[in-house]
Amino acid sequence: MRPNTIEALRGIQQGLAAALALEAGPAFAQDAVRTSQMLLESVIGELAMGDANAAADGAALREILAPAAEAVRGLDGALADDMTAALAEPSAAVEGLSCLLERLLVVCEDAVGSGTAEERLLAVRSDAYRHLRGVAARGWSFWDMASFRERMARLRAERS
Amino acid sequence: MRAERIAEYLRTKLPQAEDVSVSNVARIPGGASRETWSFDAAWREGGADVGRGFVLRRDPDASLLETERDAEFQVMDAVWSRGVPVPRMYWLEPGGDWLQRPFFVMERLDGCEAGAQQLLTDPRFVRVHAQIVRSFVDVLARIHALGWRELGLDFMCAPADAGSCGTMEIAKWEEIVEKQALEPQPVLSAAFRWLRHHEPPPAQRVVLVHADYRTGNFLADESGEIRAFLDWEMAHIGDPLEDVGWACIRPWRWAGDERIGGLMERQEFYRMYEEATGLTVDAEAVRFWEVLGNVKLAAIFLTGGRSFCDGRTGSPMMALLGRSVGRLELEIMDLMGV
Repeated sequence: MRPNTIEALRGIQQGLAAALALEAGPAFAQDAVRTSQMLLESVIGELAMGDANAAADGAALREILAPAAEAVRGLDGALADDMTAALAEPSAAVEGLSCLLERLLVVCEDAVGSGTAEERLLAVRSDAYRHLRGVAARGWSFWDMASFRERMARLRAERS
Repeated sequence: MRAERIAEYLRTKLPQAEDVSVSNVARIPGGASRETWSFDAAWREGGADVGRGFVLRRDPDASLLETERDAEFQVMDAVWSRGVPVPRMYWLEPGGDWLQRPFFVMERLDGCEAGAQQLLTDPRFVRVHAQIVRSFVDVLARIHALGWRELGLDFMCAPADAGSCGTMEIAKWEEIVEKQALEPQPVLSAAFRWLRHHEPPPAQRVVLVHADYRTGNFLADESGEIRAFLDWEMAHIGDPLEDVGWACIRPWRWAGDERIGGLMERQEFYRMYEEATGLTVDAEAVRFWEVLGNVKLAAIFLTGGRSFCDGRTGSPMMALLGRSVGRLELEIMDLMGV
């Protein structure tokens, strides 16, 4: 079996790491190679889980929005109607559902901020944030950069 | 970037200089909103040899932020005149005739360290952490004590009153997110609403805010003294606690624990800042500014991602940052308590 996409990207990463280890080069060039390494790491993470995440996100958004339409109707009738219409469409795209979630959370925060949020809206809000936390925790991020840079610098020092 | 072209430029700026030469032109990593270049220049003047190091910051093709280089130059020049540690500013070139794009030239400070990893782990700097902390707070207090009108900085759009500092910053960053986002941003949109419902009390004093005051943005020497604070491109007039909140946000806690800037405990920072300024640090107000700080950083990342997707830059850093908003969202949700 030929190397798949992820394996090929790992090969590129190793090639860059080897070049970085052997050729010190100017600081700017080293930094550019390290950044490219991190970008590859981010892409590999997404490729490995992308399809599964998209399917799971679609299902999760439907579960959140289903009870939300009625919970939000008294505050924003147009949003409630748009949710109902989107949920009736089995092929509604994740991006479209995310737009509705965005509008829903704006209504939720205004209701919470003004002290007018009902229990069922609070429950929907809580489910929405739980989902968003899961999405936000995925993949490689700025958060991981410093440690990655440190690891690369160590690798270079070991090989030189 | 050609050394000879820079030398030609210097000849126009140093008419009394003879035999001007430029060497060691090298791009410095970081400074993602403008290209940063270092070079050495040598010339003869009044019969004597002169050698000096310079830093040149040139507008990029695309940036993390679309900021005004003229304002940055003017602010740095103004605060330098009052003894705030910043590199001395030399020349501002608003056109592209010399180096394709606008740029400015400033003093290079040698023998200092800016990198957070080095400052936090290199024994030469670890042993002077207490001095770095003291210097960090003192410089911030000095900036917040400056009279920005007397410095001629009233060209910067100031808030209408002390109560609208937060409102103004929310509006600024909300507009940037709306303009730059390429996909729905439920967390950021919710955060803007949360911010509007949690605006802090009026600023105790309306001051010059550095707006990027953090570990990683200053040059410290081995005695622990901060010799220069860098990156003034987001400076504006506002609430001093905005700088306190920004310094506290998690991305700048490089040590991986709760220490502010990887250097000090939060309560220690608050206490030292209060002593140095006479202001009170309201923890809830700082929470507001921390939420806004994380939102602002997310907006900056989105701007980088947008520039990459629009084809205005091929920088892998812009692509990477555009994909890195998630952890900021986690922090925002934590701070909002949701």
